[in-house]
Amino acid sequence: MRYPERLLKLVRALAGLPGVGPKSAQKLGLYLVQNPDASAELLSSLQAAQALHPCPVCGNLAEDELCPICADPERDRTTICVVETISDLMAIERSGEYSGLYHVLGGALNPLEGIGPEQLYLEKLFARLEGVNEVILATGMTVEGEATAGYLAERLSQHNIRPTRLAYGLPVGGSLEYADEVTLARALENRRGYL
Amino acid sequence: MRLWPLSLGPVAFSLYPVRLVRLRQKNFRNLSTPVFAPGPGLTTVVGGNAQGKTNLLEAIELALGGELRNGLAERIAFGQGEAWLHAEIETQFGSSRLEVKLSREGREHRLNEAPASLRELAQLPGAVLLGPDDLELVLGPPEERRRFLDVLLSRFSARYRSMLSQYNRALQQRNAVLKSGFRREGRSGGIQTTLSIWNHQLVKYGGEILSLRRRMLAKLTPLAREAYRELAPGELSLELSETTDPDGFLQALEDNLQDDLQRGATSVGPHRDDLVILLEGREAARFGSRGECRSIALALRLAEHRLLWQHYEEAPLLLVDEWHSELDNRRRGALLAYAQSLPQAILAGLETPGTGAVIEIEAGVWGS
Repeated sequence: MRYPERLLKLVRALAGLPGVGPKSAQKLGLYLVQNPDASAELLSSLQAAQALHPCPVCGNLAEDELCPICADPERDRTTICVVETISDLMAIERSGEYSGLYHVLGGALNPLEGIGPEQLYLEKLFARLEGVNEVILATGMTVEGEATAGYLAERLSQHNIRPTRLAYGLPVGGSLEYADEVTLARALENRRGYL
Repeated sequence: MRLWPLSLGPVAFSLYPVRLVRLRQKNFRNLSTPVFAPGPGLTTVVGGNAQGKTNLLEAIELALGGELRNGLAERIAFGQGEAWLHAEIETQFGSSRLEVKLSREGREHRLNEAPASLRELAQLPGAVLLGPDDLELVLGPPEERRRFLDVLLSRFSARYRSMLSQYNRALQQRNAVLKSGFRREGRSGGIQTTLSIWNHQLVKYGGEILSLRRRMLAKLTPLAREAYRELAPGELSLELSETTDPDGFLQALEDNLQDDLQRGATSVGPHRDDLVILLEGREAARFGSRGECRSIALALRLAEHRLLWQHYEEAPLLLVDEWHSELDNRRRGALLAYAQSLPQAILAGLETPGTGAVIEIEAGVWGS
């Protein structure tokens, strides 16, 4: 069948979004076309979202001058947690265990993709170390995340800061019996004192 | 029944074997009969060239969790979307069903009807396939021998498998930095820092690869020597030819920086190492006769079989393609004696060894 050109254009735009397949794009497109209220709301929130910008301090999303975390006077300003992406930041926030500040790199070192230190948001990190006594390296446990952590550790040591790294290990609630050999070996390497 | 390897090592070998009860297949290369059900003991698949002998052995190896030897797409019969293999095996823990589906997108394994990763399949000793291509282990380029070590070590150790894939990733990243650095004449100070980060990553993963390889070789060498003695006169030894030792790896990377920048590639590390095969103290690939090289290749594979046997305390299924090829009577006799000492072994070739069961194959069709 021949689709109306405008519907086709909408569906194609939707199908280009991450995680949306052609089928769901078609479903969403048809829904939006047939529900003007939903469309109008989506349109206005999209327009409003355009005003979001990277926080000039940490790289998180901000709508005012600073992001909500940097602007929050309750946050502990002596600790910075370095993450690759904003979704990593959100994951740590969800844990509810962290009350310090963040620094979002916008990725990890990946020379194959042409990403070197200059492509990451990191020079600003070294400019904000005044009064900071701990930097937590929370980049991913991938080869690239590890390399980025190594790079940052090296640079931070020049600023007399010894960073910490998120621990690897066994999943909570996991039984040893089911842990794979690699995870178990890592957990053994990173064991720590008890009591 | 003679238990050949009982004399080896301090650990007595138990004679629990992996036994193939039944292989079912669909669309695997030229194979056409749906079921292959070898009995215990020796079975020889006999047929002319290009009738499907090698395909049948490869199907068994793959179904038992073996590495893919060649392209995935070529494993699927012409004009078909996917191939399917299903093996029923007996082990000391009872019977298991292994299933693999091959499509152009990849392979999917199931163990007792549940999806299984290669790591889960590594719980089983699987199969060892010997064939004429093994000659490349001796005469081929270093990649062949590194692959032999890597595949074997990955079967023992998920840790090794994981270190190897991370090492290769870090290596690609370092080489990307080297290439970009060469374009910029390598003068910027930034590149030194970036390279030093990747150097540390290579050392972290590579150091462990190097030491695991050494440990494995220390176990493999006496088994290979023993296996060779059974086949032919002469003292076989194996040595790693390393571009660096684990402790000096970081220094070696730094020392070779200028060279590496010129070449845009990393010149030291486990990805450049080789396994040196010596016969009577002389390099076999250069000084050995073709017959000797053939015997060495066979000895390496038999050593692999015994090493896996020691490790699992259960013998992998032995598969031998072109069992008669290029071997004189003494070597054939020794190979057959080993195969016959096992509770089950499957041979393929142009002729029968005159013992055990015989299954004839023609154009992918065999009898039962």
